[in-house]
Amino acid sequence: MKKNNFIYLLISIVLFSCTKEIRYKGEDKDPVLVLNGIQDNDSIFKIYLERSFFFLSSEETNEKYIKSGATVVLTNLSSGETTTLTQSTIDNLYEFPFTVPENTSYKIEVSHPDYKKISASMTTVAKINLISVDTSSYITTDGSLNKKAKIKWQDPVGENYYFLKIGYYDPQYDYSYNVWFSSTDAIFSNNSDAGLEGEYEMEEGVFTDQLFEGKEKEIEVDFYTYVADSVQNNPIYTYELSSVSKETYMYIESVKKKINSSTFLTEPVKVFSNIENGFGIFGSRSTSRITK
Amino acid sequence: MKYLLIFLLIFTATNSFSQDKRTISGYISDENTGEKLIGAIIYDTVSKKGAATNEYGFFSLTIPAKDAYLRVSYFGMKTKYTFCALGRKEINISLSNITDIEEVTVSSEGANRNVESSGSGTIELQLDKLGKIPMILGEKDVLRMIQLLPGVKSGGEASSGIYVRGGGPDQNLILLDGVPVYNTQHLFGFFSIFNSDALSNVTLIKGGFPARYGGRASSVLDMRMKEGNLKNYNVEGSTSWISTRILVEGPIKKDKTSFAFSARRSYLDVFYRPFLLAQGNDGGFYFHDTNLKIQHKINEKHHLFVSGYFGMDKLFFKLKFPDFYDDDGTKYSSGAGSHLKWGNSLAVVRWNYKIRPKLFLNTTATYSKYNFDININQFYNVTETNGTETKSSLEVGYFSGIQDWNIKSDFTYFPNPNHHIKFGVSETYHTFSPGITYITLDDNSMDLDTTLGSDKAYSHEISMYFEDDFKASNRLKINYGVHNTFFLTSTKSYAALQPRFSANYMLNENASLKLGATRMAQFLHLLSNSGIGLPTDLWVPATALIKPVIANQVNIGYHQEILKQYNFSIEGYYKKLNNIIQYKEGSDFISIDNDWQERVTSGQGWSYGGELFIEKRKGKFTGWLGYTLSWSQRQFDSLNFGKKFYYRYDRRHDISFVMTYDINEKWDIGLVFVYGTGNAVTIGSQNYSVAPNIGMYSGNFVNNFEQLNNYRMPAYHRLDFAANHKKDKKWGHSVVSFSIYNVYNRQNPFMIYTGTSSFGKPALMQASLFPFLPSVTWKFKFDFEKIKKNKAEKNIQNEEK
Repeated sequence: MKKNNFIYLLISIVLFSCTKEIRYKGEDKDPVLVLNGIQDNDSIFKIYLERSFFFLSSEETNEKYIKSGATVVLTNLSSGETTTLTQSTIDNLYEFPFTVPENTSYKIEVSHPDYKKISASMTTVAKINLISVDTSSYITTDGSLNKKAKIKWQDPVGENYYFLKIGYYDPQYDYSYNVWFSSTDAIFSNNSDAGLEGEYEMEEGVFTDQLFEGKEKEIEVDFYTYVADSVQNNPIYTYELSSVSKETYMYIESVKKKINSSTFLTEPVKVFSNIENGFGIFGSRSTSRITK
Repeated sequence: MKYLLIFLLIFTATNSFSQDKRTISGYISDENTGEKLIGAIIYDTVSKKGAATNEYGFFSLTIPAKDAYLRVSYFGMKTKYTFCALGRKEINISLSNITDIEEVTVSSEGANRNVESSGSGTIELQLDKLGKIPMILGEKDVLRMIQLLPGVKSGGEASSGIYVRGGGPDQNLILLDGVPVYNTQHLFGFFSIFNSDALSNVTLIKGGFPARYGGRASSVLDMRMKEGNLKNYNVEGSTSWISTRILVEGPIKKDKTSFAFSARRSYLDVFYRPFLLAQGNDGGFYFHDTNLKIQHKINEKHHLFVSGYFGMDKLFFKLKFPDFYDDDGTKYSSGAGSHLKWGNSLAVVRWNYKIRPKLFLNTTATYSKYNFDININQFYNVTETNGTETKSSLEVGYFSGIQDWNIKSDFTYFPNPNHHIKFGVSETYHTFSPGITYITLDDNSMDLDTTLGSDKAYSHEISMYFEDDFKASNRLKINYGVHNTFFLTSTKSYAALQPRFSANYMLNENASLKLGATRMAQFLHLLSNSGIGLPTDLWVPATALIKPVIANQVNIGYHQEILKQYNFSIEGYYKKLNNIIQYKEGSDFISIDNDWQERVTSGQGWSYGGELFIEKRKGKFTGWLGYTLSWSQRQFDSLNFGKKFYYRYDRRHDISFVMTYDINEKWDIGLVFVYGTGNAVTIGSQNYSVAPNIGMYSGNFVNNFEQLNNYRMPAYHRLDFAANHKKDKKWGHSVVSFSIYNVYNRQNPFMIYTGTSSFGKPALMQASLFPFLPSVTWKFKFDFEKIKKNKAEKNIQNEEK
């Protein structure tokens, strides 16, 4: 009996001493302002404003919204014109009374009595038009219906950054989503690990023009379609190629990496931000679409 | 060429005086075992000249052409005086062990004095203390003992890896009988692979590296295996909760040929596997290692040694799920299995040749291999009522490894008592398997048998060195030299000239000032995950994209011997590491597509600090106190936005206190206390929303950290205690060791993570591994002389009756 008690005692010590809650002793506990505003050309100029929250807190999302109390000053650096907002349109959305023009530089500053003042600047990008999208369908070896799309455009001279997605819309049920597509093109190598046949799979692809600087570029993507939908509902596919600013590219790339690698086996990822004294992104995007 | 000229000059100068001199050479060994003694001192009391034995127990002493009266000493052994008449050129001397502790104080005077050696940053381990100090679960572990030395840090609770002066675990040249060992871990790092019973000598060099060593950037751990008892048979071993080990050694032909065989195996699986097998399943974990060494004295000039090591860890399971039958009688069978195994294999053939009394040659051919293999498999069989069987199976595995073939020749030349010259050449052929994933799929719709990942890589590493341990005056000793390496791969070749310098200036008879300045080059990189210690070591070569690591180190120290019992040293160092690598953000060690070079980034590192060491080596009470104050930083252009950050194992304060006390002939006790600043980890305190208009990632929160490794885990501290009870038995000696690991049950951090508290709220959680752990170990040693004597006495008694 004594021997058994000894064994039980040892097992208990091992089990109960495995994990425990510890107190966070870091210094950077204070929340900061978070500004998210990737501006789409020809759309309303808008930003989303909220605050960051302590990683061990269990606050509701809307508690972090900055609906009032902040002074948002947007300056058009090309014209010197300034616009000020002090109240959100809805929740944490602040809309400016104009649309986003091409090739224009902006600076944004947000001050709030409870937080450090934040600022950021960027230049809106010019649209890069798609030349063509050629599609074809085929049956795979396992019997599913797939689509291939060849997407072509001219890359302008200079550093360019891109964002690609393919939208699916079912008019009968008014239902839409972004399709998962794959490509063996090396420009997508930072989007996912390659599969068995060297293909990269993604829902949205971000890439640079490093491998085709200043040239006409054609990429081939492949995606699965539901047979029934494809035949009966005449779905609509929208191919969207966005030209994005450098900071937008860096932000999206780092967010993708961060969210896809949140395990203890992967190296930590720091999300890019161009907001001084705060977090988030102030960037630009211009999209060219072809619907088929 | 320059160094060859220097060598020739010294050689010529020496021979020009040879008419008035005589040279005595030979081996110094242990009288009881015949084991060669490394670093034993032979001193001519007439001419006041002395020499030390080399790594193979060989010495050469050139003195005036007169009769000599030699004093031979070695720590822990009786000093011997012997007369050597003029005309005698060879003398082999054996020393006997001392039995009375107090006697050591007097008799070992002058032997192995750290204060006098030119090596700075060098510590020779007292292996006899290993059995006295407490160890986790009673397992004697030489690497755990090394972790207690100043300037050396452990990776954490479950790590037998060592981090020396801010260097990584791959930057230690760990040599077992001169062969590099690539992975030193058993049981996921809880124990090292070295069976301490099989070791005869262990030396750690942290700075001031002699030129004969090369290939790693931060430290050298030179371990020598026992050669085997040439005189008598010896059987000893121990058994603990984890494993049982045994050492058998003895003469094959007395004083001519001997062997030493040791083996160790964990045995927990032996108890529970039968239960699993009875249920149709299988699984378990075990490790084992085996050492074998054979030495043969061909004659006084030629000695031959053959040795080998083989060790492996394996974690596995095999499950057979219950069969399932559907309504029409079709049978569905399925099962799954997995294994994770890793291990090293080493083989050495060594030939010692005394070419001339002043010239000694050691030629070694070695083979070293490390493999890591993880495999997951499953099967699914359908058997229809008519007997038709459809089988499908899937096997996915990941394999990595490194294999070396090496041949080297090391010459030791003793031109005169003031110079001890070493030079040599070495060639290693490396084969790297840097992460290969294999997939085998066999079912009705698809057959697939493929391997993916990085291709095998091959390289040649050719090294040559020259080193002189030069006694410039009675006060000044200098060790200078150069190590030159050519590293050749299919795409790129590198050459690295590595000058080495260390000096010792005796301030007085008992105090010295030591200085070291060295450059080390490392052509192999280890890719290892920074988050958790898994044996997923991925060794890769320097390539056109990934340059070799270059480490420049300077160190200065003050050493003092007090009352002939205490060693005191204080040493400062500064080390700069170039071209170190680390995984890029978001990368992990298993990836089937990318070339490993795509997953890493190169950068630089700095480490600097000071080490204090106070040691008492003699008497009933022995031990040491070590304290390290250090800083270690890293910088990579593509990590942390190019800013410097603290290395994960940056440890501001590190304290170790080790004590052993011989209470009486039967009892001794040991105590270890360690304290270390917590490891640096990455934790962001602020979360925030992702921009709402970027598709699938919108709506998520991301965590922000100011910089990599911005947060400190709680400090690590622990007290261990051991008591050893010795008893003489009719058959030999028995020692029962009681030890307690973590006496005050400190919950030391193994890892910290964001989890959920008992109230369901987000919380910072800490996982710990080893609580208060008592253990009992039984050690035994057969004494065949005693058994024989007892038997003879019994026979006499029987006859008398």
